[in-house]
This record gives sequence, C-alpha cells and structure tokens, in this order.
Amino acid sequence: MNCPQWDQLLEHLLEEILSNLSAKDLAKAGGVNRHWYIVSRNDRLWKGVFNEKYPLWLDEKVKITDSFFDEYVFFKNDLPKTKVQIVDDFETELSAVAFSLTGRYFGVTGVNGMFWLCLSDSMEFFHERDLNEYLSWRTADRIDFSPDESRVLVNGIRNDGKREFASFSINSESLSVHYICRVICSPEDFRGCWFDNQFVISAEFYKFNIPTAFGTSISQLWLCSVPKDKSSIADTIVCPFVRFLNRTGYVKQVLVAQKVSARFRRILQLAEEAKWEGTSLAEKLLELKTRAEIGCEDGEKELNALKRLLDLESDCSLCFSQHNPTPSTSNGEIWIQKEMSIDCNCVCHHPEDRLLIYVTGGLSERLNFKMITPEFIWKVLNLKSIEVDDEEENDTDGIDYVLKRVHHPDHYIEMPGTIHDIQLSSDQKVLMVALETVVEDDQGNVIGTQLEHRQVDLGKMIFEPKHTYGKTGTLAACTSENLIVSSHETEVTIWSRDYGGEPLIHLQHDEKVSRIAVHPRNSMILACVRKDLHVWTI
Amino acid sequence: MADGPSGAKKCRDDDVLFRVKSKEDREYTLSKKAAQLSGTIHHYSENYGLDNDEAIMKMEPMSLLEVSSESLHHIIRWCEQHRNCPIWEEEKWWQNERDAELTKWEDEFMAEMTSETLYNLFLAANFLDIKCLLDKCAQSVADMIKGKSVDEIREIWMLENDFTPEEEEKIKNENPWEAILRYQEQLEKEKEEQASQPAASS
Repeated sequence: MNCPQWDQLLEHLLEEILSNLSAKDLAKAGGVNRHWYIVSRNDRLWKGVFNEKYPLWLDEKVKITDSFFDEYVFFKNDLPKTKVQIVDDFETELSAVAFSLTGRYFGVTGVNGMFWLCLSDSMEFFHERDLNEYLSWRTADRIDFSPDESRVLVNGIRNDGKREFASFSINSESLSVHYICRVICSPEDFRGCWFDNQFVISAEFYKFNIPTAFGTSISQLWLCSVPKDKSSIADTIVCPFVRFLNRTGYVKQVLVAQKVSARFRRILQLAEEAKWEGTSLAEKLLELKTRAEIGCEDGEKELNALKRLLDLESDCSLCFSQHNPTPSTSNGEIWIQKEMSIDCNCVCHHPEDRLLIYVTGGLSERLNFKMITPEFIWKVLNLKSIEVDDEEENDTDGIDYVLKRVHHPDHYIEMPGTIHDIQLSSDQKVLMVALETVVEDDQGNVIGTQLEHRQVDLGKMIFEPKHTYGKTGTLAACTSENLIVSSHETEVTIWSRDYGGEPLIHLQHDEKVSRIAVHPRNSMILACVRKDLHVWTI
Repeated sequence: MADGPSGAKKCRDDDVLFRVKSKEDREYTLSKKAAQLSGTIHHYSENYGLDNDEAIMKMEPMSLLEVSSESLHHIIRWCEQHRNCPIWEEEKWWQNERDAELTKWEDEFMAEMTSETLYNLFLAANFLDIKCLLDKCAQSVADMIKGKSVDEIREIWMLENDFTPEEEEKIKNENPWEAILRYQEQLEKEKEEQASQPAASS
C-alpha cells in the first residue's frame, strides 16, 4: 500500500481530525470533496467552534437559527457593519428616529419641528412636513408609528412651551400623508404614545396645593381616539383613562406592549380569584403549587412545574392548530386572531389585552405594569373607569376615599437608580431600560454614578440578571429580533440579544450619536449624528 | 527500526508482560500498565479473565488482525511512554496541564511519522481505542491542514475533487469567510483611499 487511503478515512476519524481546526479552516475543509463537506458540516464540530469563540454563551441549544453553523455565520456575517449611506440634506439637527413595527417605514424628526417619513427598503423619503410652520411648534422630539402602521404620532413642544402631539395618517399605497388631529398634554417632558391602533395616550399632571402624606400630585392619563382621517374628526373622543396618585414625582414615560404574557395574566387572574374567594394570592399560588407537585414530571423541579402550569395557556394545544404561527404583515395586522375554542384560556384569546408600562419618578423610581383588558376600555369609554360604590362612601375615611378614586399598578419593579428611558423590543417581549445607578467604593461612600442598560423580561416580569450592557448613554437600547443596539458618545454598540456577553461589534461615528433605531427584522441601523442620518447594514 | 526519541521508556524486566500479535503474525510484548491504555485490550482482558498477573503470564498472544507490525511497534512505544498516565476511560486528561517532557517526546514521536505511517497509526489507534494517541494523531493531521488552501489539502492527502462546478460555487458562497475576506479587503481599500486623499489634496 503505497499511498494511504485518506479518502476512505472513516467518518468519525475525519471528524476527530476536523475537530482540531479553527472555524476558518473548518469552513475551508468543506470545500475539499463531498465526503469532507458532509463531515465538516456536522454541527457537533460547529458547536465546538462556536463555544470557543463565544465562551460566555455556553449553551446546549442554538437560539437564532437551526444549527451552530448558521449561528456562527450569523454572528460573523449578518451584523450591521457597513455604512451604506449618509443622508445629509436635513439641514437641521435630528432629534429622533424610529421604525414602524414591521420595519416598513421609518420616521425622523428635527429639532426645528420638521419630520420626515421614509420607506426603509428603498430609502425613499416620501413625506416631509414643517410643524413649526404648520402647528407653530418649536421642536419635534419623538415619532411613533401605530402598531398597524397606518398612522404616525409626532411629539413636540409648541412655541408657547406647551407639550403637544399630532397624528397623521399614512396611505400605504399612495404614500400620501394627512394631518388628523393634535392633543395637548402635560407635564412638559411627557410624550404621548399609541395605546393600540385606535387610541393614543396623553397625560395631565395635577399638583396638590397642600401635599399630604399619601400623595403630592395626580397623574391623569387620557385615552384619545384618533380617527382614520380628518373627515371623521368629529368622532374623536377623549376619555379619562387611568389616574395615578403620586407620592413624589409623577408618571414620566408611558409605553404600551401590544400583548400580555400568559404568566402575568394568569397571576392576575389568580389574584382576582383570591379576592373573590377571600383568600390571598399566596394561598392561590400554594394551591397551584400543590397541583404542580402532583403534576411534576420525572426529575422536574417543583418551581419549573409551577412555571409550566402558569405558562400553560400560552401553548394551548386546543387551538394551536388554528393559529397562524407567522404573523402576516401584508394587511397591516400584526397579531392575527383566528377562530378558537371557547373554553380555552390561552394567550391568543386575549389579543385585545394590552400592557401599560409606566415610569414613576421621585424618591424611588419604579417601573409599573398594568394590564388593560377590553372590558376596562369599555368602562373607560363609558366614563366608568373609576367605579365607586356610593353607599359605602360615608363610611370610609380620607385615605380610602382617595385610594378608591385612583388606579394602582398590577405590578411594579423598584429600580436601583434613575430611569432615563425605556424601550420595547419590536416583538413586545422585552423592555430595555436605561438606568443611572450610584457607584460606591469599598467603604460604601458614593463616588459617582454610572449609566447602564438593563433588560426586563415581560414574560417573567423580572430583571434579566445576566445581561448588563456595559457603557451607555441616557437612551434605552433598541432591540431587533436578534440584536441589542445602544449608543454612547460617538459609538454604537451591538450585542446579541439571545446570548448576552461581550459586544459583537462597535460602529464608530465622527460626532456624538443622538438617537438610534434598529430595523425589527433585518440588521439595518439608523443613527442620528447631528444633522446627518447614518445608515448601517450588513 | 529506530528506537525513537531519547529517554524512551522501555518495559522493565520485572514487569508483567502482555503478549500481542500483529497482522503479520509477529509477536510483541508490552507491560501490563501500558496495555491498559488501550480500550480494546482492556475489554479483552476483562472478557478473558486476564485480571491477575498469573493469568497474564500464562496468556496466549492476543492477535490484532488489523494492526501491522510497524504500527504495533509505534503503538507499543507510545503506550510504554504513557503508561503512568490515567487509563483510557478518563475523558481527555491529556488536554490538561501536563509535563513538558512528555509533550516534547510526543512531538518528536509524531515528527518521525510519514503520511503513510501516520495514517496507519491513526487507524490502529482507533482500532485499539487509545484515545490519547488518537487525539494526538488527529491533532497532527489537523496541523497539516491548517492554513492550507483546498487544492493543497487535496494534493497532500491525494483526495479527488468530486464536486460539480455548480456545487463548488455554492459551497464557496456559503463559506462565511469568503464574505468576511471581501469585507476586510473593502475596509483596507477604504483605508488606503483615505490615506491617499490628504496627499492628493495637498
């Protein structure tokens, strides 16, 4: 045997050899011949390569694609790293940029009160409007698309210093944009946002003349219906939505997640049941836990069994087959409601539920969550959002009297610092928080503050402990399907949303980045740098 | 046959000797401890009651029909050198911290091998289930692949390219490094342009 039969080498022996290669050599080895190709694409090999490259991400399962090979390729190739364009004809400093929910459009606002709308695929700017001229605004500072992308909301400050927002309709075919209505709100730093496709939330702030022990002010949120176009403006309704009593500070920022996680809903249901049965939530949970213990599968931890029970409704097998697994976006509907069985309680049966997220400031900063059901909206529209039993009124003391006339969050998270900004991920599952925390030295003396990103999982309603996204500015990070993007001074930093760990890539700019947005589906990133808009893609 | 690197351990006279027979029917002996590095021999001795010195001393040679005399010679050298290492079952102990002398010995051992002997040794290590040797062989082969072009790899191992041109093109495109290399080239080009610009303007 003169020449050894390397081409007949057993598969597992070739795999053994290839397992010593770096990703680059391994990818190349696949090009030798068919046998080598098949062996080199074995995902066991790619798992090893992946884990070597990203040791902090050690995990048994791939999270984005179907294989470690694709996963590796994704992190190597599909990150935004090329600056394809700089749009530099705005002639004003840019104040905000945002994508619509499917990423079809994005909008930009300028500090002089201008706003622009653009198609993100073709980079075709199809609308610009000067709100200084049109509505006498001093500045525009936020732009939001309605979940169905049919309308856009621009926040700004009027020449007289009052805070206001205006809404405009977008015709998806002709791309014509028309003004619909404007709504004033307070305090000055509150920005209106979409509640759903029909309503927007505005706010008013009432300060008590004499602060009491249980409150210094009231934040009243309003629900304003935005008609489809200006012709039906007479149908506009403004209703008192929710009212919060502020100990200190006020409701600073409001966001609405278009869905509520099954677990959160389930816990609220249990709490409600407990109220009716005169027990406590703890007891209800204990009851459920006993059931979990019975239902424990082999080796399953009790807590996991409980979680499984709480999450059960999210994968309801009854109507699973009838659900559309991928949301269709062609007709603008993001979450499609399908025919369903009546008895089932799963998350798809409550597509109308919304999660109101609001930040309250003051001495202790809190992230508050309140589930808003269609029944509640019905009450709001019939001006019954506060229901007080008249007969009881005489018997209650002062505090009770007040507390019955305000709303309370279903859940809140006390923050270890000041909340500067919050942002929802495009899939509405994660809330990004820009937090300023106090830094202490070894003796516990305050030596300064630091800005950091934190992530709240809206399914579990907890801070993700492992993800801390390094150095950051006062803006919350943006998230796409797979990436988390934040800006700090001249640098935009990208992290993996699924794995956390070290930053994947840094994008440098010449000057300070004032605002960023990331396309929800692909890897397009927009960065406002003074008067320019920098466009990054893969 | 050469004795190999200096300081090679040989089985001592007072060792209990395990008898093996190559494909060519040539008999070899190795110490009991060294033999235990092989999973195949380990199982063989379990199955045939060779668990005490007396039994081993009385044993008939174990025939290894797949192993040539040359490979067996190298294998025995390897095993004698590693006989104080943990036995075959322990997962990847040889990747942990280890003494430099042994590593040096291994490297010299591997350097002796030609493509043919290495191939046969690799197969023999696989047959005898000697994990540390198998790993070292794979590592050595991989070292020969590292940094080489596809054509060079084919030439070294005398492998035939059985892809159709279309397949080859497709594979090239899915190779993540093609895209990265292109990107890096582009970056370098930009840098060069930037570097040349001020010179041009002045």
